[in-house]
Amino acid sequence: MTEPDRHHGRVLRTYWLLALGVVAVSLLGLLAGSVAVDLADIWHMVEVRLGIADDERLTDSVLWAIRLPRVLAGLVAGAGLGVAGVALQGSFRNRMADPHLVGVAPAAGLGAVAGIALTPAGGTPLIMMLMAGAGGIALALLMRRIAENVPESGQLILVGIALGFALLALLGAIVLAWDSPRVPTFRFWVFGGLSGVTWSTLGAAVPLVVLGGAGVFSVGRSLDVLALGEDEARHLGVDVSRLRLVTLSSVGLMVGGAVGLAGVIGFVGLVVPMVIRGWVGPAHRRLAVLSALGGAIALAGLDVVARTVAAPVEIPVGLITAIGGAPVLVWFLLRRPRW
Amino acid sequence: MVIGTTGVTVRRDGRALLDGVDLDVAPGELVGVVGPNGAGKSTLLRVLAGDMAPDGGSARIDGDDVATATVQRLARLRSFVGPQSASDVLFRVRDVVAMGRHQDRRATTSEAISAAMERVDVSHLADRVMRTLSSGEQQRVNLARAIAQAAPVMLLDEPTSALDVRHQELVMAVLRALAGEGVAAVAVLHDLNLAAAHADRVLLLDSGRAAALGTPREVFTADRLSAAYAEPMAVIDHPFRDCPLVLTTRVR
Repeated sequence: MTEPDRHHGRVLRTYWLLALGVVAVSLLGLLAGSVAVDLADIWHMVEVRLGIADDERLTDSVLWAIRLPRVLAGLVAGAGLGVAGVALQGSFRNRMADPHLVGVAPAAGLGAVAGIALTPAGGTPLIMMLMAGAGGIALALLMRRIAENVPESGQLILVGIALGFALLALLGAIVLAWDSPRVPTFRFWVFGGLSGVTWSTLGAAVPLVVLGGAGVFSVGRSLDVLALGEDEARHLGVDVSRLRLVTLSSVGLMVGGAVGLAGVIGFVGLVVPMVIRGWVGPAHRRLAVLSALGGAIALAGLDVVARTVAAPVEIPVGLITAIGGAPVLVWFLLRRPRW
Repeated sequence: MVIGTTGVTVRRDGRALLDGVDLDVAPGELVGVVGPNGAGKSTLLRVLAGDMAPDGGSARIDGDDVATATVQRLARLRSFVGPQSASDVLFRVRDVVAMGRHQDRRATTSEAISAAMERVDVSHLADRVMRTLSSGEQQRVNLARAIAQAAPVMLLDEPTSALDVRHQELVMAVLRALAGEGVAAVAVLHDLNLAAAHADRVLLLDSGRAAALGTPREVFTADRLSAAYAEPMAVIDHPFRDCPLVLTTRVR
């Protein structure tokens, strides 16, 4: 068997493994919680929603109104963060670029808070979500502008880290100072969480994540060429400035959707692409699709941990992603890489 | 003429990196650009490639001003091989060579990619990850990528700098063959004898100015080279090839 055949087999196995993983964490997310639920209850909820059964039980409303949107939000936000990580790393040619680390997620958080201020009480979360997207895009495009003057990607990441710290502090200060029942707590914005998700927040976030994901997929091959270097990419016909515009706008949208759903969550966008790249190589389209699946598994799975490990107390999922992500990151950086 | 410059001038920090350089290259011609460090060789190539807009004069490929042509148009007009490549590329050699066809992916066959690899002796490296190769192997892969790009103009900045003698000769022979197929090639070369043996014409740059332009026999005279490089040199007939042979004459 040749190396390309072996690689092809490894990629196929990864697709299957991650697809099964998404199904598994989804079921786990629906089953776990203070109200006991089994697979038959999940099936019954489906029947009730489809109008096949009409004897609605407590478990049906728990599953439909609370657990299902929460599980889906974990999948969507995780997928968005995974793809955003791939796109940032490709765009800046640095595998340390992460939506949280370079300030895009805190900027989306600030946008979301501004959106809440603009939304009338009881209004839809659409404006909040769009403002989160706008905040993410603004910071991502600021990084693009800085990248034109700071060609060395390590320095660029440091600039992003500095911006990220400042924005996170600003976000924390605003949320602490703004005493309103409409503003999610400091804990939500700084450590992340999926407990407040509703169908309407999910509905507002999905288009942002899908649109951003499609944007990244559309420029995946150009990001591959950019891996050779900016000059080389230009010589091969890639308009690097336009590529970064599309890529980073897409990152802003996806991170806006993810932050609007789950608050500011780190490590998923950094660790998931790194692990997936180690399995399947650097091609961005494949990496984006598999990191979407991997990010979905990571966030939805760790959310199950967050709400069960110290039940009935819920631990912010951002803390769990950091605690779980840090050792994985260290292990991957220290091991001998295949790619 | 497929590629040419008219009075190209580039200034940086009040110093002229290039000063009124004129160069025309016809299809089928291999032109070597030589000169001491800092003479402006790479700057000229970057202007020709469209990477750098000149402060005066213009560069054209196939009638298009390279300073205003789109990157997509330029990629169809010229390929470029730099002296070094990014050291951290995680793609396999075959994928990197295929990126030469980024503009016309759908019209590309795997045979065309294999043929480009074959020409510069990197077929056996096809499944290797780029960053695991030696710098000489990477340089040949980059040349294969440029060949795959199939542009009528090739610009090469020290394409043999990391190569052993056999592969230096191989690469120069490939450039000659490409010229035979109608490609106009401009190669910055440090090795004067490679330029003497393989180039149709050479441009000797000195302090940003074109000191001489002509066949190697016309340009490579002992006085001219000794003055340009500030190093005593002699030029004799090559004992095995029909070209001049440049020797340094300082005795240790």
